[in-house]
Amino acid sequence: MGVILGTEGEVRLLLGNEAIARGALEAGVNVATSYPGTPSTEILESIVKVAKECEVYVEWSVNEKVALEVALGASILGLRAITSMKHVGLNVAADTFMSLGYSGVNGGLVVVSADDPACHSSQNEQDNRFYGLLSYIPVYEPSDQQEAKDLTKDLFTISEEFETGVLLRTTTRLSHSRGLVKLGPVIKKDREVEFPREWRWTLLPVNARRLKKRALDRLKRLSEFHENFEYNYVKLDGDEDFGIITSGTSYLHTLDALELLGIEDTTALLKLTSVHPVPINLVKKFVNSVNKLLIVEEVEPFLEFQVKSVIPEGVKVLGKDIIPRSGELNVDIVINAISKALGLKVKRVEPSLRAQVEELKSKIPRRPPTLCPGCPHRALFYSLKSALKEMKLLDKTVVSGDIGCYTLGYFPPYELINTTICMGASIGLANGLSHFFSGLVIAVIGDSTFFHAGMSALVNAIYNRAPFLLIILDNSTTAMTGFQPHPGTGYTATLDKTRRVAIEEVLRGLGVSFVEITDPYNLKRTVEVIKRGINNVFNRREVTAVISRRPCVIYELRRRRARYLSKATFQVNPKKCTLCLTCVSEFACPAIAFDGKKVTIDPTLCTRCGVCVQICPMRAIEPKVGDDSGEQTR
Amino acid sequence: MIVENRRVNLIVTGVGGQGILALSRVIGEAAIREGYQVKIAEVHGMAQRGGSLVTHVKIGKEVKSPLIPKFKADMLISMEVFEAIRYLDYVKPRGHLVINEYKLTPTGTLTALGIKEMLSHLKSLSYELRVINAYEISLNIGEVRTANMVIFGYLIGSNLLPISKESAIKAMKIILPSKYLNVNVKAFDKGYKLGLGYKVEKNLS
Repeated sequence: MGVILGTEGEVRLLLGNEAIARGALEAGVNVATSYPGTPSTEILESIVKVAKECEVYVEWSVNEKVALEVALGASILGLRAITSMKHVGLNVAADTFMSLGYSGVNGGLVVVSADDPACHSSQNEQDNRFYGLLSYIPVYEPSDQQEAKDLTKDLFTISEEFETGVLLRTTTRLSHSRGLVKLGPVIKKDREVEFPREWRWTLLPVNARRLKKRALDRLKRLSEFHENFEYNYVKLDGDEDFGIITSGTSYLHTLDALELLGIEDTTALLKLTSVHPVPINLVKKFVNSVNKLLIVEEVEPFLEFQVKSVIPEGVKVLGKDIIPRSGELNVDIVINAISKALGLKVKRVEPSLRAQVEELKSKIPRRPPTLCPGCPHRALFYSLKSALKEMKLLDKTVVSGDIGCYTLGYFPPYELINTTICMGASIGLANGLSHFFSGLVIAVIGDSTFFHAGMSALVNAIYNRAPFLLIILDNSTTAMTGFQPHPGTGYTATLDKTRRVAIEEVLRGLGVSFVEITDPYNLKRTVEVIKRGINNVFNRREVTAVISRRPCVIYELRRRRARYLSKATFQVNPKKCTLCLTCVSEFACPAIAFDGKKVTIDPTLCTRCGVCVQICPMRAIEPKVGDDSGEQTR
Repeated sequence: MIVENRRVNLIVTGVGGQGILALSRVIGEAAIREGYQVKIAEVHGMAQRGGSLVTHVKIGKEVKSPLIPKFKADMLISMEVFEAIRYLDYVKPRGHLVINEYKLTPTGTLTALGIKEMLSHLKSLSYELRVINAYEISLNIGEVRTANMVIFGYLIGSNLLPISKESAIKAMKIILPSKYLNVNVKAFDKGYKLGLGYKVEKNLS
């Protein structure tokens, strides 16, 4: 299964993330850690698949801060370590990361931040290159898969030579694009493990002051090193009027744009891979050689700030004034920016076709992500709404949500998520809300997210007497990112058995007195449990917990290699169906469709969870009589 | 034109769960076996949950950006009709549309265009439209999740892609789990035969 394994010289079509993982193997990495998060997940995932063969210690850590600390611990002992996370994960790890800038490393330590311009799967699109400026840690940005692989390998050496952690910044379009990668040799290196008894591992003020001076000096040396860095690329013949400075995938969009405009030969180009600290002399020389300069970069004007700080005043630099600061770049946007900079006219595709296409597009419905057929979250949301309606609390309740598939409960028809801020914030926010809000406060959080950042907020709620209902949506996996195990599953990253940290034991151990577990597929009981929980919040004014436990249906089907959960297939009995459309409009399972005349259940989408049978007021959804074709396991 | 610099830009789309990533990857792997460079821009994470899914597949001597500009795709391959329309503005004038005859109305939608209406709209525009009953074929095979390989077979049989049958099968062996290879090859063959009937003289390369 190890897609990243292969012999030297072989060419593979790898995801950017797989290329990074391969680069780490080629550097003889000893330790790899992560908390799953799009678009970073496949980095550790692909190392996990070959961990035993390649003798790499791997773990899904409970959160990014711990993941970085595990990696740093190994690095201090002289081992090579990589830790990967999504951009917002670095916020969680930031405390450790900032100290890493001071302490430095022993064994090579590569921190990968996978940023998500355009928020494909994130709550923001922060540009983590700025963490380099903040922490004095160098930042590198590869452009394609081959470079991502080669660079990752070499960063371990740079990390060791300069005794510094390094930040490798990738973005969705590199991490989740495939390209050809020529493999190098994988090395397995037994490294001597020893704890170097040095003062720099203890950041007392007396040491920290000295370490900051060291870090600043290191940055100066790195900037000089980057002057001749092999991963920076310059095309400068000396007679170009127009020049572009760029980095990352923006470089590739720029190459296509220049080719489409037919000006690739007459444009000077500086592609920076070492984006912090920039090679000052190289940048100065480049800027002085052209009359007009454009900086093409995604999200924030990071290179622009640095370039402007080293060039003489009066030199005109175009950048974020003509390139959007939000969203991701593409070839069209870069063509527009270059055209604007040079006063070129952009050729438009046949306007009549464009108009026809736009008109047709306007006629089709949107298709936002939705909860899967058979998703236990849908059943829970349905019961939660029923309970709130029955208790006449629907408009007197604030539901504080969190990060996971269940964030989709925000959308109609459920509309039960009122806040989503960041990992673990459902419980933290519920603390603040419940002290002052006159109605009911409910925190909704997934099992993996609870372990990640929910537990300390819960301790706070118990200690400071915050009265709210906590619903833990326990689907027994980290579903959104592709089913990684977590402490509640009883399995490690490599699927070895370990002690299961049971959520109900955690809750009771912390001192939550009301803890009830319900199966969300059983609607009647779930509504009862939720109502009991709400009454407990009102009566005892204390944090009250309900665990809604049912494994993620997709994970369960994959695990069992089955197509359906039960034998029964379901159909709508047209004699009983009154077209009230409760199933379509309020339950909204993707397997149930209304064609204007009748309601049908698509047998290829239905997972046969049987929940719709319970919600139909007319009891019109019935098992197909005599149908036993259901058990089609493959 | 693409004929000179041998570059093929494909948009592959459909609904999360229809095997869009697998279809994109077999095309990519097969193209490598024909000596091309390939880049595939995929979508993972939240968007995969039953949402609209699109990948960019770029095949050529040299491929730089993983993204295809608007109105620059040579062909759009769609596993679903709504999604074909959603990404129509990537296809160049007179470009090819290869569409699975299958409509999946977005969850909770009460009124929407019918499949016939949508296809006739598409027919009226300046594209080369091919509608394939891959869904029906896959149902007959008894495995609805092979519809993507019916389409793949069609693309190879019709000679639309510069890929040999041999490379195509090899790519399927690399990408698809060995357990499900046989049923997928069966689906591929059905599509391939269908494609032979609509063979084009000159492929897109």
